[in-house]
This record gives sequence, C-alpha cells and structure tokens, in this order.
Amino acid sequence: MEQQCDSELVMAVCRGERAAYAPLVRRHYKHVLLVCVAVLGNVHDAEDVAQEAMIKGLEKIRQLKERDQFGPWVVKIARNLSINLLRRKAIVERGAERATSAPSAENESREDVQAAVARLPLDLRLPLVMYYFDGRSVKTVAEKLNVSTSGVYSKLRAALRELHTILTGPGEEP
Amino acid sequence: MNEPCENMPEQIADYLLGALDEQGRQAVASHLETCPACRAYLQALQDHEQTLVALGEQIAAGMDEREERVLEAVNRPGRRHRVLPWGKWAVAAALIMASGIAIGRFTSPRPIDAERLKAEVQRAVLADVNRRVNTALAKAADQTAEDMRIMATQLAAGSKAMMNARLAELIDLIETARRTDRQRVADALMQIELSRQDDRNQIAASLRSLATPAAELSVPDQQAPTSTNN
Repeated sequence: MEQQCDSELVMAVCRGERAAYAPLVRRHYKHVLLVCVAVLGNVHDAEDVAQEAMIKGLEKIRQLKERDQFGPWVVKIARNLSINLLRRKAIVERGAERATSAPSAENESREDVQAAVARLPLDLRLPLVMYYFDGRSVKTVAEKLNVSTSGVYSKLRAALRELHTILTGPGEEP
Repeated sequence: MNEPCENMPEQIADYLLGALDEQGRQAVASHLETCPACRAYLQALQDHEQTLVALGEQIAAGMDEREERVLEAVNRPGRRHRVLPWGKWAVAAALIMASGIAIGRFTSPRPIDAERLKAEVQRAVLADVNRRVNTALAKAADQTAEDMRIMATQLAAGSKAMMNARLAELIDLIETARRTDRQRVADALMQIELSRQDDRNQIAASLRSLATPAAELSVPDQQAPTSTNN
C-alpha cells in the first residue's frame, strides 16, 4: 500500500477519519518519547508524557496550520509537557539525587551515565539523547529540533564534554 | 587520569562525532598516536557513547508495545467525547441567545412617554452639568469659592440657555410642519370645492342639454305653421 504523507494523514484526521492517526503515531511516537526521555531523564515518566502528547496531538490537530509539520509540532507538544512536568515534580533535583546515590554493581556504568545525562542542561541533553538513542543521525536530529546540522554538532560536542566532566568530576568520587 | 592536551577535548569530540573534514581528522589521529592522555580521553568518550547507545537500544526494545498502548489510549472511548470546534461555538451562541431573550423580556421597549423622556433628558443634562462643574472645580483648585460658584452658575446657565435654544428650534420646526400641513389641507379642500363646482356646472349643463331637445322638438311644432306660412 502506498504510504500517505503526513499532510494527507493530518487532513484525513481533520475530516474525521480517526484511523488515519495511527500511522502518524507509528511514524512520530519514537521521537516524541525520546524528547520526553531527554527532558525528563527517565523512561517511566517519559512514557506517560509521550502518550499524553500523542493524545493532545489528536485533540488539537485542527489547530495545526502547516499540515506537513506534524512531527516537529507534536515533538514540541511533548517537550512542553515534559518541561511542565519537570517543573511540577522538580525532577531535576531528584535526578541529581539519583546521580549521587550508590547504584547496583552490575548496572553501575549504565545508571551513572543515565544520571549524568539527566544532569545535563536541557539544550545539551535533548540533542544528545536524540542522537544516541535514535540511530546517530545528525541530520534527523537537526530536522526534529529544527536547527542546523552544525548547530547539532556543536551541541553534541559540548554535551559529550559536559557528560565526561560530570562522570569524572569530584561529585562522583566514592 | 591525565588531562588531555589543551584545546584537544573539542577536537577529539568532533573526531568521535565525525564532524571533522579529512584534514582535521588526520591531524587529530596523528596527535592521538603520540599522546596517551588524549587517547584515554577519546576512550572515555567512546565508553560513554557505547553506554548511551545501549540505553537507547533498551528504550527501543519496547517501542512496538508502547506504540500499541498509545494507540489504545488514543482510541479509548472516553477520549472521543471531545467537543468539536463548532460545537463549543454553538453552545456559546445558544447561551448568548438565551441571555438575550431573558434580558429582552425585562427590557423590551414600552410606548414612549414624552413627559418621562423630557424628565430623563433634563436629569441627564443636569448630571452632565454637575459633572462639568465638578471637573471645573477640581481643575480650578487655586480659585476662590466665589469664583467657582460663578463659574458653576455660568456653566449651568449656559447649558440651560443651550437647552432652551434647542427646544425653541424644535418648536419652530414643529410649527412650520403644522403650518405646511394646514396649508396642504386648505389646498386640498379648495381643490375639492373647485371640483364640486365643476361637477355642479357639468350637471347643470347636462340638465340643460336634456331639457333642450324637448324645447327644440316643441319649436318646430310651433314654427311649422310659420314655415308653411313661408
């Protein structure tokens, strides 16, 4: 079956064809979830917020002016919802606490890195997570975040260096 | 761990990300061959990368199930009763109409009461005068009370004179209209009278013409002997 483009699917949903939203979910949910992970720093909260973002996307789809921009639009919804949750629950502080708590021996490295990612500034965390969690494509990250590829490289470079500083800094000493 | 060389962390990160051109990549590679501290730094960044990729794979592993859960949530019946964009406007319009009807019932216009209207106009004019007096009083704080009273009186007199002038104009207009109407009625009566006169004349003429043949018929009888006499 020929794949419909985003704008056709968006128009179909606006006409009341609810089933047309399913391909949009399958196409964009992954990036929505990654943005939520990037902002919130944990998968559990990110799953809830990503689901909420996709539902909000359906409810507000008639407000979308540029119908071919569904992806960046729904990603933005997800990002805003995540930031709101972050503010409400002060996850930044909890993430910092997790970073200083003692992880189990077998998952030490992974949990350390995850906690360090959660401590990165949002403008660095977002491109880093999207890049490494989704096929390491600078072009894709640039498209999803609506920034230039050189801008993404710049953020990734800074994020890697900052991540290394957090992981090897004095706060991580036993 | 030894610190990498100055200015190298940035280039090493770019080297790892593949952001360097061929010349830059070769320059960094050459440096790494000779610098253990920078090699260690590169190794540490590579370790972080591997962990990040593993975390990403962990998240990606359950993606299909998550997508299905999202689709179920999106299609859940409870989510369907959203108000359509025109629906809320229809509700708003209905509320506005209902309010309008309710207000209209209590404020529907009654037959105009000229006296009441006049009293209202007078009250409004007086209120306006009072307001202007108060404003003038506030602005002329440095004037004496006597001056202010004079000013207030002048303002009131001015407003009264203005109102009288307007009323006089209105009365003139009404009088003129009445005169015009009277003249028209008189003209119409005159016209009627003239047409009556015409009618009477016509009737008289008709009667005469009816009477005339009888006379003419009788005349030959009277004249016949004359003509025969001729």
